Amino acid sequence: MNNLNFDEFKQAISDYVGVAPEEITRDTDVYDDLFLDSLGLFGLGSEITETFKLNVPLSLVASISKVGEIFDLLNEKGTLTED
Amino acid sequence: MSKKFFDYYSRFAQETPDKVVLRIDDNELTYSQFMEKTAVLGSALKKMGIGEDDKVGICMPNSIEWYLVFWSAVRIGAQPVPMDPQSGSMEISKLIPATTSKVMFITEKYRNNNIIAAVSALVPSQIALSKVICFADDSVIPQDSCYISADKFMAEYGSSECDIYDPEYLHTMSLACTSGSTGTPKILSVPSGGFLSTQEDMGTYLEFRSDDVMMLGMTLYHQGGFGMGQQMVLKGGTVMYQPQFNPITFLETVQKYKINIIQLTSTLAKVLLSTPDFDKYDLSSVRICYFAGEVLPKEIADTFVEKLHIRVVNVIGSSETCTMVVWDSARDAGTDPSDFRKLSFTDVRVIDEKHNDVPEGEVGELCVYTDGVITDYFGNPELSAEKILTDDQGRRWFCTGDLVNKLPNGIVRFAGRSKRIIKRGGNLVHAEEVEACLLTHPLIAAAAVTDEPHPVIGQQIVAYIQPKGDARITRGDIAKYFDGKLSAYKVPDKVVPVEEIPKDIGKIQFKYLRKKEYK
Repeated sequence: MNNLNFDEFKQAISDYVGVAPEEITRDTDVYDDLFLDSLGLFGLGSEITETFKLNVPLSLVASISKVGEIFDLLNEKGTLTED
Repeated sequence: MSKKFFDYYSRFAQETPDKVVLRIDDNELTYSQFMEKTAVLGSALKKMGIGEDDKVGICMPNSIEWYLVFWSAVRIGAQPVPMDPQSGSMEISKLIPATTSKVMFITEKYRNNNIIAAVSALVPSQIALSKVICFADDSVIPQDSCYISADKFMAEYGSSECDIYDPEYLHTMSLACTSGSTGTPKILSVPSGGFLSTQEDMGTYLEFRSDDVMMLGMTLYHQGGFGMGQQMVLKGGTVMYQPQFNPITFLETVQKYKINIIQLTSTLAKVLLSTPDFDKYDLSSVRICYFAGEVLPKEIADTFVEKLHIRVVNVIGSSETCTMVVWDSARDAGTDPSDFRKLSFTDVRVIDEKHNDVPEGEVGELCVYTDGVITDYFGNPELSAEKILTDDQGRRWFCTGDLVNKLPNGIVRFAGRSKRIIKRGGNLVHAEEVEACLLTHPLIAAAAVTDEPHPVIGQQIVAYIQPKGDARITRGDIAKYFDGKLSAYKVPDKVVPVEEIPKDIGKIQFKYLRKKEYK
């Protein structure tokens, strides 16, 4: 576990997609509610892994669509980046 | 009359009737079912008055139904017109009139794009179509009389008998749609005979066999993804697509069905290679990995060639040429996969603005000959004259818009694009089209769209916007505004507000843009 804070995570997503943090919950769908396509999801994945200095496999990011699932993935499977 | 795809399908249906021609997830279509079902759908279209050269729009995701609609139209000499199922109402409002589609086949939705809603906002109130045939539940089909469910359509109009149309060599088999720079679509007239012979030659070059199974990462509604699949079908093999790309399922499928050929873009390959336990998947059945649509980094090619011992073929070209200028690890190992060479059935020129060949060592525009080069841009003779050159032997050459360096020994090295095209993953996005949509936003005074390198998707779309007055506009606002108007892949990845868009005699000065960012 990486003990990430969901509010900080929400803020990072909000900064990237330009949707207000109060509109983002665990159930927010990245496709339907954040208007990303699958490539946009990889872009978001790259951005948040850089923000939190954690690596997660892109293939796992590609298989999910809820903000809560991405948070859990980062929290549970994220490994620290080298720099 | 020339050779036609149905000669091959009919033969395979007789020789190997139960062989699967197309598999998408758990849904399968055999060669004999292909012949039976295209007869029903083709006869239904005919009975409804659709015939030679009539246009049949298809706005559906990868599916068995997509494939049947496409080939049913070809079977009766009509011309299928695949449209991107991510298309919003703004795109569809241009595509239907530009292609002169008489009927359309649609599904309810694709991902978050509600196709029925996008079409029913236009048809019949603004655009007339004879019928919109919906592969959807009755409960979501609009009540208007021009909408009909596919089941009812086939039951009411279809029969088991349907003649097969004999096309002339240059008869347009289908129309392929790509985005135009101003939002006006470019419509490609794909020639029956040339498309077939080029795909068959490529399948032969790649040594595809009837017992091969090919899994494609690109889509059926993309001319390249469709064409590469046909290279396998013309050998009597099996092709597989996914409803939408899922890396884990992709790898599991390769393992389960012992796939021999995989087709990827660089982005898809990066995602696949990032899979935990990638090494534990049994990929030993894979003989060839076939790349198209994006620049292929050498590291990725090396991983497939050296680590996985898979032959890598990278193609450059475009939907207009049926691709076919290649880098092939079996022949070109050790060189960069952006160094391409022609094949025996293709030819290459590197030309300057006056269409003269440039000397060796210089950069020019890549011009490609294949027999499958489109005959014209449908309804656009000016663009056709600009992009399609005919030589004294009557061969059609296509000016690709790719800039290449002309090297010795017939090698051309990819050097970039000549126009403002953003290559986002496997998708081409015209900066001007995104700007045009941004400028319809009531709070935007000016906009400039450009690309930025991205480690995974190659290039991302960056929109610099000059808001009206004190308006504050975020990417989220833009995404909501674009929703239903343009495809999701055209939504800017980054939105940067600026004090002004610097221009010089009307042209955006991109080099000064970043200095104008709000701090």
